Amino acid sequence: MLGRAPLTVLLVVGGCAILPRQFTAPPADTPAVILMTGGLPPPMDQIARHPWLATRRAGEAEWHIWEVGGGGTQADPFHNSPYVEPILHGVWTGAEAETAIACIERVAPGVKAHIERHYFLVPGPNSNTFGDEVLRACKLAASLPANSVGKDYRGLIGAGLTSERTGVQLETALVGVKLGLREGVEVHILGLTFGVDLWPPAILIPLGAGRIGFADR
Amino acid sequence: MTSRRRTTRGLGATALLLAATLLGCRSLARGGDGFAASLTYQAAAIVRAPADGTAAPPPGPRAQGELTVRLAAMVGRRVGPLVGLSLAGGGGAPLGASYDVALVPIGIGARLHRSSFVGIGLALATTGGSSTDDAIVVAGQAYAELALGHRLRLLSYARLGSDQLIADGLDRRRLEVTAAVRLGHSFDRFIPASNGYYLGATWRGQQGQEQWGLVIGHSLDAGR
Repeated sequence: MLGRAPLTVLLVVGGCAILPRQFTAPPADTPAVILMTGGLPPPMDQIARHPWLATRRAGEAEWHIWEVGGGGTQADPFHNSPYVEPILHGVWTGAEAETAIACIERVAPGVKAHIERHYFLVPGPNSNTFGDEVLRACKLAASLPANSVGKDYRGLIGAGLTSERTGVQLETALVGVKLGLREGVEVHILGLTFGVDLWPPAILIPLGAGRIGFADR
Repeated sequence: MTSRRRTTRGLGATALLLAATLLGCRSLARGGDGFAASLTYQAAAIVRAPADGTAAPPPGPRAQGELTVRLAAMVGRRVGPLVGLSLAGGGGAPLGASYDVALVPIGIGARLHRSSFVGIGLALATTGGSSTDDAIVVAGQAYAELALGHRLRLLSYARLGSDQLIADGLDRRRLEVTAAVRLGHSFDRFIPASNGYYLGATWRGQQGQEQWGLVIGHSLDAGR
């Protein structure tokens, strides 16, 4: 009975995500928005990730980086020091990106300022709360990974649509739950996410890439 | 052992831990600013040992997977108060589930080198599931995390106490031990710290059942 256990357990803890998205930037003549996360510097690299949104209008050479604790412009949207092992979660281009960029420029500074004033490492609000709030406000359908601790922080209690907008979630500062057609089922305990993602299919764990199965959207 | 003697011993142990904690706090107030802490994410594959021929097998899963998050921290350059928290949940086949939520509000720890430490505390826990009765646990909880050079670390954890069954108030002895070896990296960028993946074994005797299994996990630690 224990014969398969070591392999199963190894997969569970290793947190492997297969078929990750390639880091390919859209052509410079089209507006684009990119959602990335990177692991915190060691020794936190496996248990906590940090998100940033990179935006670039058509014809611009530099990407504008939107995040808590940083920001500015840079040529490479995929790597953001000091964060390690970056993962690409979403790319939007064309008219959708044009609308999203306007929204991010309008919404993100206020959200960032609020979170930087009230920052709290666990359960939030923190940089992942910022990422999730901007995704929802600007209707960018994507989810942050399971080890983006703070992504589901809604204050003492909160409820609403998920960032992918195909599900609902109910959160308190200690525990919460998310149910959705794409999101699957997530249980949140002290900022840690456990669950099953329906699309792309994966088991969600708050370690490594945050999932075992197919890589993030 | 009578219930009164057990209560007296429990109160005595609690008083000792409280005194040790107060001493640790006093040391901290005098200017000690050291600490050691570890955070562990663990997955386990656990099987129940077969019951002897005379007893009917208990209900619930014969084998299950279990996820545990465990935090332990002590304050002090050498000796000081220790606190801990652990959350565990599992499920298996045949269909069943288990849970264990433990808080170590008082304890004492000793930091040995970098983030190595040993400690013991009073654990208050709720536990139960498909194969064990829901119970309140009062137990001694021990931690030992010892670095062997910059890459290897020994992790061990034990809980000895009794389960007070919620249904009928009966006391049942509990002993569980987990030991593992971790291979990882050490860092000195801000404070001494290290992390890595580990592999080990666990054994539990609880409510008349024996369980054993393999554990694998990731832990990170820091101390100064």
